Amino acid sequence: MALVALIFLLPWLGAALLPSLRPLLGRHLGRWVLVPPAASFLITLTFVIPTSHGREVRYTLPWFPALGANFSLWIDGLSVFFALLIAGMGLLIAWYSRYYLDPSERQCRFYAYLLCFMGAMLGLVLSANLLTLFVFWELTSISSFLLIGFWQTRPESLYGARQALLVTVLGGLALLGGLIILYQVTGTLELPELATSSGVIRDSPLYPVILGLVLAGAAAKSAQFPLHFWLPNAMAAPTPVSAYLHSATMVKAGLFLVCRLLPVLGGTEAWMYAVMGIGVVTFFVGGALALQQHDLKALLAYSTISQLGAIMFLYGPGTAESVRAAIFHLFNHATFKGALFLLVGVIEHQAGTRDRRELTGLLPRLPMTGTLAAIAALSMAGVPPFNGFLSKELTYEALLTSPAPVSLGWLLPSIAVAGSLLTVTYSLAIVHGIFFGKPSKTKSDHLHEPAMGMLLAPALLAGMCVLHGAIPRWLDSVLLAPAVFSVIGPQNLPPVMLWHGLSLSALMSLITLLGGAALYVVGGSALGLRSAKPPTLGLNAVYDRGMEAIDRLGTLSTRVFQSGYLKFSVMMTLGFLVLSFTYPWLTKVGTEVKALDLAPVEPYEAALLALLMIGALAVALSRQPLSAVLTLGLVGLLVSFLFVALRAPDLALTQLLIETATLILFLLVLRFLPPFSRETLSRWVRCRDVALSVMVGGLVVVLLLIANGETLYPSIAGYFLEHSLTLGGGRNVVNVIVVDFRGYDTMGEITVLAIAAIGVYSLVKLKRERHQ
Amino acid sequence: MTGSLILTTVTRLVFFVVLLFSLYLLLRGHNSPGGGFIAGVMTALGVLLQSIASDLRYVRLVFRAEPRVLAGIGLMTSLTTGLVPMLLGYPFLTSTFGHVHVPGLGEVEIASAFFFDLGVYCVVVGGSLLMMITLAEE
Repeated sequence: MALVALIFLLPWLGAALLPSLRPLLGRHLGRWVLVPPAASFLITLTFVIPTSHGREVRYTLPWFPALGANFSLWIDGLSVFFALLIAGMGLLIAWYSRYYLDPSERQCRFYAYLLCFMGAMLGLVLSANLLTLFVFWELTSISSFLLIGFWQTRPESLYGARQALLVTVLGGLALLGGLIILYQVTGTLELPELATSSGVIRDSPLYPVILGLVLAGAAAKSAQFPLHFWLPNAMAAPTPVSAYLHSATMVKAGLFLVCRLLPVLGGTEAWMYAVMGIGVVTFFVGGALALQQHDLKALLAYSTISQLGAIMFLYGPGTAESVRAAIFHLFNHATFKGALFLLVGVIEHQAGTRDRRELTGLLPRLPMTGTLAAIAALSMAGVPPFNGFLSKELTYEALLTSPAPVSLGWLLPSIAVAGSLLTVTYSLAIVHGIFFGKPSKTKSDHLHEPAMGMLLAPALLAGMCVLHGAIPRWLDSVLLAPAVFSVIGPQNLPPVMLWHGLSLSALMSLITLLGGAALYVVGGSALGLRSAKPPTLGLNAVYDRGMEAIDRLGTLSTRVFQSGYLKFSVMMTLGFLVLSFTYPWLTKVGTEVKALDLAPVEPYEAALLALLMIGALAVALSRQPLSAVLTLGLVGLLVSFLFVALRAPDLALTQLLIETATLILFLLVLRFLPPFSRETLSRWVRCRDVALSVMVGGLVVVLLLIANGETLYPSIAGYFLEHSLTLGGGRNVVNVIVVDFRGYDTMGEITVLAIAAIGVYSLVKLKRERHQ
Repeated sequence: MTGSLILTTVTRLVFFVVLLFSLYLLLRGHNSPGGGFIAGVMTALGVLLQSIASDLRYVRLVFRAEPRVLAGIGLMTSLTTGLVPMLLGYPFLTSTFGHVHVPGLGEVEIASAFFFDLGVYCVVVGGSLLMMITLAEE
């Protein structure tokens, strides 16, 4: 357990220690940041051999066992594959960031956020319980928010950060709903157990709801249409962040979830059509929009959306071949798109712009960058011998060989070819459009290659594109195949090879490449660059309208409910209370009050009550704030006497002290209050106030009478009285309840108290500072 | 806020009695009326009384603890009593108690819930003082 937990705890530990270690590390901060990801990577490596032999490990720490929430981790092929990807990419990104970030930036904060994200993401992929997974899921959204908004002074960063947070968290809410319903149906949230009860889930009438909610969450996270619009705006983040979160890892969390839930929810027609439908639309929308972007990062963002759609699409059929193609493409996409993002970062760093219209003919100036970018982009296009070719071949084969009803005849392979055609076109736009052609005068004069260290990370990724393309067997046997098998069970799959003869899929690849090249030659090179502004689908506008509407609603409700008159607020609250209780009481419960079992009222109790009533009346009738406060204190004292009479010493003591505290607080702020207004209230206002008071009082009396007659559940008081001494070790039952039996509540209450105190403190302090 | 000499002198004496009594309430809370919350409010009130009778500078002299810090320490204490059982394999906030023989006092009960109550006490003292002193300074 400890070792597995270290994988995601180490980055967090690093993030926690970084701020305090900063003075110690000084200039070497960027170097020491490499330690946590490297350690996580190495620890995960030790699990590669066992999982490649099909062994899996599970650890469970009970959390809220009664609610099915355990903190459980699951080491299997899939989680090891993802963990290595996350830790490995994290290592490269941390290395690259040293060169990308200006020394004047708040580096410590940047690295701390990055490590937080890494920890959350590693935890996400290692979770075996869906609630554990959900917690990490939300943590990745929050750290993504912090990273997108890293450049706090840029409005587009703040806009992008807020949008990304809202969309992904809204998706997270849908996911949580789905998970709760799933728990209602199956009674467990442990992924391995869920897989065994998949029949129950599929037959449940709630299956479509679960599927819809879970897919909504996954689609929001993985930027699937129509929730894709946050990803291009998230490009306001520093480029290493875009490469890491918004291309290689976080946006794949949705795909990871879909992959994990394939054995649980998959295999139905609903699953197939929903997942494939989302995937196909996203594939095409992303590809078509990518062609028309001016900003290189926006192009890569839409291309990421498109590729994520392609992977999503492959989870639809759920056959062994298609899952394998999906996992392959997931890995390959991380390598080539990661490299491309980092290289765009290099270009931006050196040239100061990312606008495609200003960047042409860069190859003579940036030969290394250009070569690496060409490798990565050609890999994305699916040109042999790079790894992108492999995943495309596997995709075509999976779609060709899938059983008859799944393949929908020739439709699916044709869709895949058409979508990949767009990929080829925009890949060419990157390679040819930017690095070849006539050099633009303004930008390229002073251009030169960056420090070698900055090119190291993209070079390693591009190297992986070549290596994995040439010898896919290596990674396949230890990493990719085990990941596939942990989703669909051990199978006998044909080995992946770069060239396996003239087959239908090879022909399709050829068509794709030629078609894409033709499209680029005919019109793609200038596509979209003619228009002044890249097109969007108007979804961003929908989002903006929605935000405006929320703002307006907030203003409206503030204006209505927060009029500034305390009396009005109290009236609203009490009036609503009366209405909300009276209505169901009249319509549902009825006016019958059961027989009462009341104790006799002693004379001194009656006297106390009479005094109380007189005191309360005196408060209402007093003319000065001071006398009102003092009489109110008197009422409080009388109540505490009443508690004494009813033999509740703890309650009486508390009441007495709180009454004193209230009185003193009143006296402290009294000098700020204006004297009670002398204006004579109109008859109607008086009548209204008295009527409301009578109604509230009457409501409380009636509720008490009803509550006294009803016992919906057996009282728990007996249990407390009986076990206070034996279980809690105390004779004061009230105290034992507070600190032991109901300790959880108390924990919450003292937290609220502390928060409230800090709230008062900061409000007053803030006001004082503003005055100065 | 400086009041009469009599009030100032008396409250300075009373303060320590109040403080002692509140500690007494805290310690005996598990078995007799009292407990962290009540004791906390009482301590806070004692300090507040000081601030009204003398002034805040005197209070800061007598009561050195920073309310904000005290509230934080209290929260941590309560949380820790909840977390320790988790390290030992029990659910969050599991409590236990035992008896210790102390020479001169006889059997003394020690309950883990007491440390939780101590946390409550600190949060209540810190939280309410933070609020009251902030308002009083205004």
